[in-house]
Amino acid sequence: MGAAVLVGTRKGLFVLTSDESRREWSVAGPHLTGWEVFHAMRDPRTGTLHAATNNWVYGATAHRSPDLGETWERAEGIGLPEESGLSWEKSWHVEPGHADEPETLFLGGTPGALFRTDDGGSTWEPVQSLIEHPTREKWNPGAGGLCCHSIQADPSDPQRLYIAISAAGAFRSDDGGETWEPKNQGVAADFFPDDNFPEVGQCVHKLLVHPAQPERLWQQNHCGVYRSDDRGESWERLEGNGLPSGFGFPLALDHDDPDTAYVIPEEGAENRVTPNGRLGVYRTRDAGASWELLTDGLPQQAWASVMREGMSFDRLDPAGIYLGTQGGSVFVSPDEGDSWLEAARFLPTILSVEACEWS
Amino acid sequence: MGNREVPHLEILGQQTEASTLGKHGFLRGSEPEANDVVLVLIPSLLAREAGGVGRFELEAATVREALLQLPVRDLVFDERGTLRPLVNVYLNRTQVDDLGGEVGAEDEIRLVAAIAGG
Repeated sequence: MGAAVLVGTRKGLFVLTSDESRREWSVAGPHLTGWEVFHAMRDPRTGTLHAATNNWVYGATAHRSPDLGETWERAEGIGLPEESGLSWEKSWHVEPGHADEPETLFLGGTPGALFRTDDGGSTWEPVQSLIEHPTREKWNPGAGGLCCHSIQADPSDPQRLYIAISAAGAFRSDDGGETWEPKNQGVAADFFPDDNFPEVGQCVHKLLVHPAQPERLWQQNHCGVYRSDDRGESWERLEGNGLPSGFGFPLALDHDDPDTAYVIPEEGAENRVTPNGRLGVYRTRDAGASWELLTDGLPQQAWASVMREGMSFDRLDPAGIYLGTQGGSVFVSPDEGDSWLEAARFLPTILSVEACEWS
Repeated sequence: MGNREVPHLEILGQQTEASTLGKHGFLRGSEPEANDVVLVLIPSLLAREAGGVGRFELEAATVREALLQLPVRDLVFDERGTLRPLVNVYLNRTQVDDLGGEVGAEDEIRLVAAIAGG
């Protein structure tokens, strides 16, 4: 069994492959030329590749490949109902559903909408409850639009789902997507002059559920890094203890250790580059009580940007951590962040990286 | 019309083998009052999405009717059936905005993506 990284770029999808040592990498692709690949993943349940794809002329859709990229099929007819007054603008993220429902996947995107398929991606239906969410009028688009970019299925409960939308906040469903409750208590929205802790309107940049301890959630927000230990009922802000900034986009976890997380801070909303003129990954091993800078193998002179889908982690031991920069470099740490190597460079602008098994 | 390759046509949801088609790509004698056949040419990205086919011979009375038969119609039109704003339609090398315009035999419809981007 080998390791792979699916690298979504402004100009197609690249596949980096290696053996389990994750120290020598080959680059294949591009697949899906002409498409901006906002996110791609390999469904661990079926082995199918799925991609959230956009073209500035031909719109937003999704593609899938049953044969590791040899052939691709496009989903047809993805669209929002006329009575909603909304149009599907961008496909941001495609996510497998629960392990017990191998044909169920979710596709999130702009304008704050979610699609569900129960046939492996042949047909997609809009999740009506989110279109009609009673708080929708309070949602505001971030710089990337009103994007539903984070989708997480609780591995311990097929009925429980999480989504995050910029800038609407985090939402949880306990009934398979029939209803959605805002879960933003304790999460700041500093950009609102009157109420910094509203029910909705938070600008979540990335939300992840820990796969081994699913009541624990992590969130990189426009206004800080947060952890929840109660399925999003409350959130604790975590920076000020080693992080140079609470602003950033991507987030990665350690599949085996719920207390470990990785972020890549940027200077701030007004200057979106890595701080102190270098590319630094920050790791906590104590659930966010403290953070350490990881630099071994990362460029020491850099003003880099890593987008919200630009970091990933694998399920190997030791855990591998992956990041892709807007400048087109992919960095891999095969040892939980202690050291890094540049697996590819000069790719088109990287929008997403996603680690997966490859065989 | 001689060398146009039409390996497969997906017409109104039916996959039809080219070998069973008439010279214009349609089942012989299918409609007693059939419309004329027009040629539709699509850009390379759309052709890849159409299984490698960039030329279609389609029976249609209007430009819109022809375009709605394309297997990539969801990329040409949005979910409301509105032509995507950066897709330009040419009928016999003249850009047309009215997709309701009638078409006849030997007409050529060409889709051209707006030229811009980086």
